[in-house]
Amino acid sequence: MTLLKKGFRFLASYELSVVLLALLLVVVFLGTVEQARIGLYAAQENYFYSLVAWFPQGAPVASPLPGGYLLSVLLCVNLLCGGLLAAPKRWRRPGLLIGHAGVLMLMGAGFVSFHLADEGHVTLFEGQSSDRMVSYHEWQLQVTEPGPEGRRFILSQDRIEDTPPYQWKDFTHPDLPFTLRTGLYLPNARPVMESTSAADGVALVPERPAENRESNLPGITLRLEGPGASVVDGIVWAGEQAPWVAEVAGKQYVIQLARRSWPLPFTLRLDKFTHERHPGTSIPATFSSALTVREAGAERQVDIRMNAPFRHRPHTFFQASWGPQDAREGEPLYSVLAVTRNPAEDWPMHASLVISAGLLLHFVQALLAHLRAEAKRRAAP
Amino acid sequence: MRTLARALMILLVAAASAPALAQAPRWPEETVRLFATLPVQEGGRVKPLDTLARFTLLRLNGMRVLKAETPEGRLRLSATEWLLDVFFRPELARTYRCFSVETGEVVAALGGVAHTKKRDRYSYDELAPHREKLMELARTYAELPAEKRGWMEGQIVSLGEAVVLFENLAGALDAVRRAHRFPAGSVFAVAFPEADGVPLSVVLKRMPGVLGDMQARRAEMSEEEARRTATEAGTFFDALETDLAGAWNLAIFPPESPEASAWRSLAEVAAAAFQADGPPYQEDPLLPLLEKLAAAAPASADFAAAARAFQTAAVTRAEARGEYRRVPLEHFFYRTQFLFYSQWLFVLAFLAWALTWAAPGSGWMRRGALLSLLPPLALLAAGIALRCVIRGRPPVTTLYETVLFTAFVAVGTALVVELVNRQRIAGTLGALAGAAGLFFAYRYEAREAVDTMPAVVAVLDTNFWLATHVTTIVAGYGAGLFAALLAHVWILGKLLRLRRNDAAFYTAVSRAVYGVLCFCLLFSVIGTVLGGVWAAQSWGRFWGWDPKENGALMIVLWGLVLLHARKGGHLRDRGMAAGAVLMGMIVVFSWWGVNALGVGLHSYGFTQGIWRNLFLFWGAQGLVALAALAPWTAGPGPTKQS
Repeated sequence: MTLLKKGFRFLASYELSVVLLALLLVVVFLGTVEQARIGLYAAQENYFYSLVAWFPQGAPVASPLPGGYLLSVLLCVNLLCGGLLAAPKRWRRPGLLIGHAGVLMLMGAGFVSFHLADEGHVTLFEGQSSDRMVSYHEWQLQVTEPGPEGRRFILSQDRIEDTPPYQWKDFTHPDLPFTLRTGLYLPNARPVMESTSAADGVALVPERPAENRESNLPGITLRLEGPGASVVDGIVWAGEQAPWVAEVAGKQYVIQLARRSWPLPFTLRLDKFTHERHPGTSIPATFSSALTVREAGAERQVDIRMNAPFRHRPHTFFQASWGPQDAREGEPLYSVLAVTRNPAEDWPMHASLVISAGLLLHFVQALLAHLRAEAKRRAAP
Repeated sequence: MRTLARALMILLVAAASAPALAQAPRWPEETVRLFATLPVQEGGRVKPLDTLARFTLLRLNGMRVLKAETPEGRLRLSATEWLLDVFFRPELARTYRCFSVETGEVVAALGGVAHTKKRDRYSYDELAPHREKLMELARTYAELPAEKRGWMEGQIVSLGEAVVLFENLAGALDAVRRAHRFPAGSVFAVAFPEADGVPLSVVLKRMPGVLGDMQARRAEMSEEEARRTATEAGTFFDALETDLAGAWNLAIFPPESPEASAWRSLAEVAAAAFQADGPPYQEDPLLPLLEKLAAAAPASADFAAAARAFQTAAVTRAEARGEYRRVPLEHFFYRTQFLFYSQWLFVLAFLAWALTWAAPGSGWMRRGALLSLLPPLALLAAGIALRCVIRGRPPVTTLYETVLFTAFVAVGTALVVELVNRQRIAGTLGALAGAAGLFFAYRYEAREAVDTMPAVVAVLDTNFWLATHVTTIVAGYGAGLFAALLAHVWILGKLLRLRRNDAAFYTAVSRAVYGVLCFCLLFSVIGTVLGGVWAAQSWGRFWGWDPKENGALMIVLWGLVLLHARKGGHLRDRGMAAGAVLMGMIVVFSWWGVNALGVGLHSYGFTQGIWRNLFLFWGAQGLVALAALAPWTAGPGPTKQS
């Protein structure tokens, strides 16, 4: 037997399926119970989206486990090899093949969503409009030219977050008269006074990541090197009331960390937000946002409620929350619409149908076969 | 077996003799019926007063009825009778021992004298002298985070809440029971000359105008007169506020406006008269009827007539709003006690199955036992169906309903398995599962003591997904637990060396375990993916690693582990039996454990104070699963399945 065949046989084996499924079960269990201690975000990052998970997360002594991402990839390979390619093709009993294909499709949808989907929100007070969706937890570094017509230069979080400590990463743009050097990016930070800091005596110190990922306030150390070896040092922190204004070559630039945002292909205006409670209680009965969608000069009305999103491919808008929670009668309310842009949005639905059909077919056929065998057994003298 | 049968017979006799304790109610039957079906809005929905009474009594007393010492002797009061006493004879209701206290130490901590019986019931009159201390401690402990609050502190908080609940109900009609008196020299004497007191309805009609006039004449008044007027007005409002203190929560006035959704309490009706920026006060026609009721001697003919008039008027208005249709049905549901009788019929069915084991060869006994499962199953189905009609919802929207539906699925599965393999194991276990499931539902309801048909939160307001995802998932729970139950027979039978030479018996059990596990997997997979699709509809993502989602995924993963290991020849009967027991443990984690974690998006299902019971269950089940590893439980070695 060639090595290739041996490898394929291993990848297609029941043994591998059992081990991977059991490990995934353990990781899912640990990630679930750990949520009560470390919060959903940290549990997701450590247990479910990782190649290696550490249990207990954050402990000085922790055991390594295969992470959910790694296990999912291996399960896909195992499923493809064992559940489809090497599986016996009994066309009279196609249930398992169909079910396996559906699971593969579902996991494919998961991978596509994980890597390509964007999530954000549009938050509007009644009467307000917006044509952008804003990320919940991704940030971007913005450099804006002075003046109302000033252009904006953007560096996304993934380009600035990997600079090692005590090192710089350089960014240039032909229209900017300086080199932007980014230092250490801290996902959650707090500014402190430090006399030795070149950035006006202010430095950033790291904070423990917040349980709720949206509450993190990142910070980054920057250096602008302009013409004639001029150097301006500064820090930018997401919690600042006002952005950093740096002067280079006689021009002022506004530099700040802002939540990542994407343009929408239309404008949304919140006409009315309604929230009702069951009478005499604080139990929420319904939330809904009446909106006007303005696109290519035409307007139309849409209504978004719990369990009734608004779809405008590739975007989908959901009624997520509202505020201020302590608003009094008659005070203006805002509505938070969660937005997803997911190329695989419909795949899970289709995959679910395929899986359900496959399993139903398989188990019904198996039950009928069993009943026939039982009847034959009883009929036997 | 004989001991078990005897114990069950004792239970049955006790249950059958329970109605004999009942005495003729002191309230005329007609009056009790009228009040039982009186519509009231509570917890966001309109329900019969009887439902409110049942759950309030359950909360205070730990039981749905009250055995009370009354002037007429020891009586067994229904919840509505008890509530009638609380409303209309509060001085008598104060003497009823309706506060269930887990340990006399709680009463001793308040400075009271504990009964000799550790867990006992106390009357309000016994607790009243220590009320101040109770409230002080309850307030202090209530501020502690739940995880820092000890058992004793929790008991004190709970007793404090129960006392306030009772006081509110006992004082709910104070404002219509007490007439307002304005002495001859009072600034209000001219406007209210009635010597024998002024009823609330008259006060509400006249007083706003009187106060308005006084306000208008303020400039003409001397300082002394103005001060006196202000003082007497303050005294009047203080008295009114005291009378209305307990009347805020009992919403028995359906709004006359069809646009309004919130029913009003007596306090809200009264407050409407003094709203400076509100519409002009208009008397609610129900108010004078309620006054007549409060003025009549309790349980008299006048009272009965007043009760009829008030109930008819309230029902007519509720009917006109389309809110009364399901009230009599709900009263019928609770009065008929479908689930109670279903539970005891399951016990009888279990006895019938037990008898078949004494005569294994008897076909007619097996058929009889099979038939004995149908009445309790039908009653359970009828109970679930009635709840669906009352709520206008699919079978499962609350944790309580998951218990009922799980029991239904487990018994249904047992019936099917029994019809297929005719081994009497599934039938016996089905009867046991039905009785145990309903007993658990009964205990859960008593423990939570809150309405089990609450208004649903916004995110659950979709009958399509409730009907598909939730019922499918819960069907998976039922099948998983039944597979675990079947596996117990295999493991314990082998462990105790029962039917040692009957290989066919164990093979049949094993096949049944496998079949039911397949059923569990099928429903869990479909339920889980449907849940993902619902989440995509509601929250914008198919999967969010929420604890409840993960719990369902764990059931699916373990089902897949077992089936793949079996298919690969690594698990045979013994392994599958141990695996099925572990499946039961995972189902319980998914069903109850993740709720106890208190994190995630399924916050409407959070449950507290169950970890001890969960660990006891998992510990016991872990031992059973380990017992499968005992050397003498081994069967033939594993082989590849065809």
